[in-house]
Amino acid sequence: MHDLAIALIIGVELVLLAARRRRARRGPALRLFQLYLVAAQTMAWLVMNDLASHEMLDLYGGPDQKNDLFLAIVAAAVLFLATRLLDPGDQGSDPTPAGAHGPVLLVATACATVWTALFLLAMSTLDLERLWATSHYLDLTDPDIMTRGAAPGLALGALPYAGAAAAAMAAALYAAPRPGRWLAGLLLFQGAVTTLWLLAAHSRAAALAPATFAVLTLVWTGGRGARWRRLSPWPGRWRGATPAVMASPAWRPSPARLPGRINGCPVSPAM
Amino acid sequence: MTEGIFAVAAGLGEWRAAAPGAVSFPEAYRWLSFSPLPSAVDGFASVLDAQIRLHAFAPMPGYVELAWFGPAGLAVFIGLVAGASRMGAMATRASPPAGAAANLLLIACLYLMAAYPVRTALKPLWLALAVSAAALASARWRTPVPRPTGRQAHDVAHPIL
Repeated sequence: MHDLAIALIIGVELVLLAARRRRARRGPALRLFQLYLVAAQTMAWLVMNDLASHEMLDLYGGPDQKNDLFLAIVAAAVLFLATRLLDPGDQGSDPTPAGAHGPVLLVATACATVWTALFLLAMSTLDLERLWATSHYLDLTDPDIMTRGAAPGLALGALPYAGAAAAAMAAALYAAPRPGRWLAGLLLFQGAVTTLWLLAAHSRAAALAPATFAVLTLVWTGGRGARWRRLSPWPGRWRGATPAVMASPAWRPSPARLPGRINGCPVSPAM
Repeated sequence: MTEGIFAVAAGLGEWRAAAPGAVSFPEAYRWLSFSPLPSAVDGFASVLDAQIRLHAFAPMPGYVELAWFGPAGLAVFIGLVAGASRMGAMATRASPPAGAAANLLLIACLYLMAAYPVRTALKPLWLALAVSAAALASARWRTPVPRPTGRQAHDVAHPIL
């Protein structure tokens, strides 16, 4: 019963995230936090079903652990809904029509998906206790550690994900339009940081680094003043001034250039 | 990365197990948790002993502290996040780098709330508000022509042709 409820919760959250994927331009923080909540709920679900382990549970785990985890998943769902209500959205201020940032948003979304999948896979399949021990007490000269094979096991566990991430990032770089390639390069760097985090194991600061790049990416791909769009050699469409955009009520040209005005002052037809 | 949900689960377990009224935070602790001032100024160090921890090395998550603080504390937190989110969105329009910094600080706050007490986790949010306010003030100071408002906005929407 718990499993069904959790599956429903996560499914609905993913649908809600997908429904507003184009609105993550002005305020990406809450959207990324919602993505984080879904990842955390999935991780807690895996732990509930004994498909993964976590050192925090060894520290605090009690007989009521499953009910506590279920309660935390429900609390995260409430938080998800609250952040959705608080989301400022685009406030109708972005004159760019949907799809104008298509290729770059596609790349950013693909990389964010890879990033999330990477975290989920690593969290669910790697032995976190060993990761923790390795990151804190690794001493390659210690025969006990080498006997347990923590370091080789860690490397073998992380390398497939690192390889998959590198391949996905290279494909994204190749597929990106030329003006957006530096951005795809930034995302490639994000993948490298994620990989380094996996190899160096569990650290909050390192785990926040990919999120940093994701935030910067989402903001820069969406902002009206996006630098790459201003520098783009692609005329019209990529500068945002298409007829469809100018016809939209959100389009606000300078008052000085409006018809019937001189330097912004209304001019009577009688003049 | 996702350890916060386990700390929250442990904290909620403590919260459920505690008898009603058995755990109470002093009023000073409750409201000074929302203070952006350093401890040396607002005197938070004097009420720090009232803090409830999961373990000697693990503090109570901020989300669980909010549950203990009651509806008033929760309302203040929601108001702060809503304000930071809205100001971050406005700052992004004025200056994309400042907006990115404000958004990053906001997500850091929400992320830290799952593992650290309210006062500690709110520090990035105060910084986000400061960055957004500075970006908006700077944009207003740099813009020579104010955006049309009121009657002007009406004229823009319905130009005389």
